Parts: sequence; C-alpha cells; structure tokens
Amino acid sequence: MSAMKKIYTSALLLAAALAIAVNVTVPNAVGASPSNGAIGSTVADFKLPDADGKEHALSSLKGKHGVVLIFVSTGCPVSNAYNERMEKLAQEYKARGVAVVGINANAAETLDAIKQHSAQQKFSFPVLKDKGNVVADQLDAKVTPEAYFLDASMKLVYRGRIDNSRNGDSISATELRDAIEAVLAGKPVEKAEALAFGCSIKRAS
Amino acid sequence: MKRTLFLVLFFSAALCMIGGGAVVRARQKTIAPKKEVATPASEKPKVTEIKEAGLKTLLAESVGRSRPLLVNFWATWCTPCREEFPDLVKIRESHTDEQLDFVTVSLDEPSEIATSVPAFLAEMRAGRMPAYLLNAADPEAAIGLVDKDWRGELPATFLFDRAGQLAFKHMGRVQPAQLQSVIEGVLAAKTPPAPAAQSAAQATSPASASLAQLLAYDASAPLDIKTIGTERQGGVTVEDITFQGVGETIAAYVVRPAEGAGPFAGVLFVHWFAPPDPTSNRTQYLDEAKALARRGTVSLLVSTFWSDSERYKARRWQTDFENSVTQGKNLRRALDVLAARPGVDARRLALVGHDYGAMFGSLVAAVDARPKAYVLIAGTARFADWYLFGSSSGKPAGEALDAYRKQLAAIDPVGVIGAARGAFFFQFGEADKYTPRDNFISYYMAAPTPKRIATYPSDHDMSAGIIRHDRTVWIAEQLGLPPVP
Repeated sequence: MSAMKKIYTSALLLAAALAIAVNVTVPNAVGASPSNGAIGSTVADFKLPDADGKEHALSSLKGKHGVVLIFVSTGCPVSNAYNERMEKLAQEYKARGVAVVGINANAAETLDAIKQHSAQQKFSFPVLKDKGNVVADQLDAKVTPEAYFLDASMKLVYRGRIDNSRNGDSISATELRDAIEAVLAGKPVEKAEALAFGCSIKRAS
Repeated sequence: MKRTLFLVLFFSAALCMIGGGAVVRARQKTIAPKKEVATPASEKPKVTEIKEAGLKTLLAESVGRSRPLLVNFWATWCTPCREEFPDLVKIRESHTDEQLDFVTVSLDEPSEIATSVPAFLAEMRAGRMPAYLLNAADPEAAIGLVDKDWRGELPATFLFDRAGQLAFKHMGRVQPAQLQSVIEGVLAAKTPPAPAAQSAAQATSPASASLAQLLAYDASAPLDIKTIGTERQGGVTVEDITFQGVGETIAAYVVRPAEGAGPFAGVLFVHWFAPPDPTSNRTQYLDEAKALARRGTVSLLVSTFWSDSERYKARRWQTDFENSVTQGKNLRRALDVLAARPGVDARRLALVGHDYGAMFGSLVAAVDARPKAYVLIAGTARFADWYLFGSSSGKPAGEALDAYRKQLAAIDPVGVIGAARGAFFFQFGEADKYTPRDNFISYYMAAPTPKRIATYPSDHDMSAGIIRHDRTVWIAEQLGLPPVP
C-alpha cells in the first residue's frame, strides 16, 4: 500500500470499535436480465434479406392483425417435422390477417440451401436470413422451431413452441394457434410462453 | 556484506516462526483404479424409458447424494449432440463411479429406444453411463423440472453438486476443459453436513451461508481467452493473455514450462497495491512464477481493479462492496482460466496474494475449493482499513460509515477466512507501516488449520530473498513439486 495508509492505526481502532457487525444485508448478486424477447415488449422493426437477397422490413410483411416469426432450420429434424404444419398455419391465417415469416439464423445454412429447402417444401411464406443472428439475439431465440407472435402493434404476445408434439401424432396442446385465436377474438393470450425441445440455433462465432 | 545481511535475515526469520497449527503436507489425492469399461460394440446398452415423473425422481435423487450428478440431454438427430459425445465419454472415463454419477437422457422418439439410440451409445462405447429416453407427454413440463433458464435447446448439460444444487449448466456443445474444471471444483467441495446439522449452522451464521451465493458466478460464460503475445525465456514461456471477467476484459500473464505436456501444478498470483512502484500490477511475481515454471508449474498473474492507480482513485466508496464482490468473482474466473490451461492438474492449485491480493485470496478461499494451498502476505483484516484512504467520492460519515463497514464485514478477510479450506502460509513484515502486527495476527488467528505464520524484519514489500525462498519451498511442498534446495 502507498503512503495513504499512514493514518491507518487510528482508523483501525475505530474499525475495531465498530467491528461487531451481524445480520449483514446482501444485495441481490444477480443483475436484472435484459428484456430481450420479453412478453409484452414491443419488437422494433428490422430488415432482413430473403433467399434471393431481397430485403424486407418486418413492418411490410406484417398482416393486419399481426405476424408470427418462426425460427427455422433447413437441417434440424425437429424444424423439418413442422414444415407441413407451418405451411398450413401460413395459408390458414393469411386470409385472417396474420402473416407467417420464417427466419433462418443458423450460421452454417446458406441462402442457396434456404432457397432450395423452401422450394422443396413449397413454402408460401418467406424465409429470411438472419446473418450474424442479430434478430435471434434480439428476441433471445434458442431453438428451431421457435415461434414469436407479434400483435398488430408489434407487441410480443406469445413465444415458444408451435404445439407439443414433435412428430405431430399426439398433439394435445396448440399454444401458438390458441394465442393467434385469442388475439383475433380480442381476448388476452392465456398462455404466453411454452417451451419445447429443439435444435439449438448455431450462432455465428 | 549482502551475504551477512541474508544470514541475519534468515536467523531472525527462523526465530520469528510462530507455530499456530501444524504444517500438514497436503493430501495427495489418488485416483482409484478405473473399472473395466469396455462395452463390446455388439452388446447394445440398455436404454430406460422415463416420463416426467421419472425425470423428477432422477433429479430429486441428486439431493444429499454421496456424489455429484452430471446429466446430458441429447438426441440422435441433434448433430452437435453426436459431435460432443466422445468428449462426454472421456469425461466419464476420467472419473470413477465413486466420484461422479453421469447419466444421459435422450429426447429421441420412443420408437427408437431399442434401435438408433442404443446403437449410437454402443458406437460411442458409452455403456458406463446409465441411459434414459424421456417420453414426455408435455416437453415443457420436463424442461421446467431441470432449469428455468433452459429453453429446450439440445444438447444441454447440467451438473448438480452433492447438495443437489445446480452447479453448472451449458446449452450447446460443451468445452471439455471447462466442464472438467467445474467437475473438479464440485468434487473438491466439502461434503455438506447432514440436513439437520446444516440448518443449525445456518441459524447461527446467516452471513456465511450467503457468502457462497454472493460470490456465485456464471461458470458457463465463455472465458474468451486471447493470446496477445508469447515470449520464450530460457526454459520458460511467458504468454500475455486476456480473458473475459465479469463485465470486463482482464489482462494476465501465463508463465509455464516451455517444454512438456504436464501434468503441471497451477498457481494464481494476485499482486499488491503500491503505486508508483513499478511492480504494483501483474508483473510483480513474474520472477517467482518463472522459478516455479522450472519446477513444473503453470502460473497465472492477473490484473485487478487496483492494477491501474487512476482507476483505483476514481472508485466511489458507495460501490466498494459491489466492486469487491466482482473482484472476488473475477479471481474465480481466473481459476477457471488456470485450470483450463493445457497440462494443468486442477487438483494441484495454489494462490499467492500480497496486500489486497491476500485479502481477496481469503475471499476466494472461503468459497472456492479448488486451490489447496494459500500464501497470504501482509494483508489487513478488513477492507475498510485501506479502502477509506482513497476514493473519489470522499468518505462515508456517521451512520453511512457504520453501514459501509457492516456491509464490507460480509467479505472482510478476518470474517470469511474461518470458513475457508486448504493449507495456509501467512507472511508478515515486522516493519510494515500499513498493517499493524496485531491486526495481521488477528487475521492469522481466524484462519483454519493447517496454517503457519512467519514474520520477517521486512517492510510492506516482502520481496527479500529469504521471504521469497520460504514461500517457494512451502508451495513446492504443498503442490508436490521437486524440493527446493
């Protein structure tokens, strides 16, 4: 220590006198987590390119009553098990004012692979490339498939799985549909979050 | 003349030894012989189907168990899961069944329980890990049973300590060195007292119960180690590195033997605060680290919040407590870095700290079981002893001063060192202007055994040859290095 400590001895006496300290209150060591992807938060508009390289603003793709963003993968078997269900969802809700937009944030999946995959699956909805997983980070998306439903005002009202059955043969909970139906009926969303096992999004390093 | 002085120093040092506790040679842990583990590829491992209740039982059994539990969630369709599996098998192989339970939980379709799942496990020779397949009617409920922060991504790996507390989690492919280091940490932790004794202890000592919680850090955050430069001097390599601490990048030197693959002992050096002295930073112990490297040791010499005297002066007393807690966590991150250096034997780690370095070393000793030996040089008993002499926001007064001291008391060396584990060597200079003798003795007295103290006719800098020699000899004894002549 430097010369600052010279007047140390008197301070020590004081310290000794005050040293009987019990019941120490310890502040919460864990900081508040950022509100990324928090239910009720408004998602800022963003622009991402589709597989042809054409940029789209989220606001331009959004339907009258909202938009469902689904993080997808060309190679993840879980994501692929939902291909038909995602397409069905897109067709069904397009007429009712809710758009479906796929987002591919996997660092290793190229624009060509996405284009080919969408063509094979005959997706009628766009799949955008989230290079550098900027949007995935912003929404805290971790797996494919993972859905985010934003209402007409871009407020996040549901995030999580599409339904509870990976292979589609034992669906007993359809949280994403329930959330969309609730918003279309002007009701609050009962279950705003539901998790499911999936492939982790392989982020750019 | 010089030689005479050293002789005098030597004798006075010898006379000043105060035998507080016996110096006990650190226990050399021996690894029990491994069981025969080879699983013939033709013999498919058994995979047990479980539902949510089964998973709950599996995890509940980890409470108060005799050994830590490692759980890996995976699936054959998950590429990173398949890629990491050989690393997991290696980790299983490096610990005995008595040390660690390691189970795998597959999220494949139930129809694959007798086909692709056991086939893959057989290929991986994973027969020693009990294998389960989770057939959950509600995946969400199952995910929620394990960890609230898990969003279901695979692979996912969780380590529960003997008390059933989640000690580590990682989503995505594990870094084997990091996982090994965390396992060593959990294995080195004392067996918790029986539940009844534990609640009694908590009732009488609320502060110590919360200390571990206070110093808890995110061991799964990437260390992001970057090498800035490397220099070879004689048989020693000095690397200039940075790693990710809590909210800041920390500069450090790694001093290691230039040749050989280990196993090496590891020493974490935490420097003093003595501006404008040129050694008031991570350079202080470069020479001692080089001497240890020649005896088969890898040292990490870290920067701290007092390395830069301007930063130290710009402190505000209002944030001293928080800042100190962060510093404690950063030293735990430094131990992660040290333990993960190639060739380092995570069971032979020591910490050397001088001045503030000793005080923060005590804090680490109270919560982190990894270092087995500590050299604590000329620290004071309480942080407020020194903190109050320099702070850009002046000093607290009256009730604020009371509150300030009370808050710091939760982490003060004299208060926390009683909860520490390991062997301790205290070094003190009788001519120290900053640390009164009685103050230092009270700090020493509070430490658990085995411990030893030596005082020298030195001032606060504690850099005379005999003082350095003493600690090198002691470290060599504790870490099983070749004896120092």
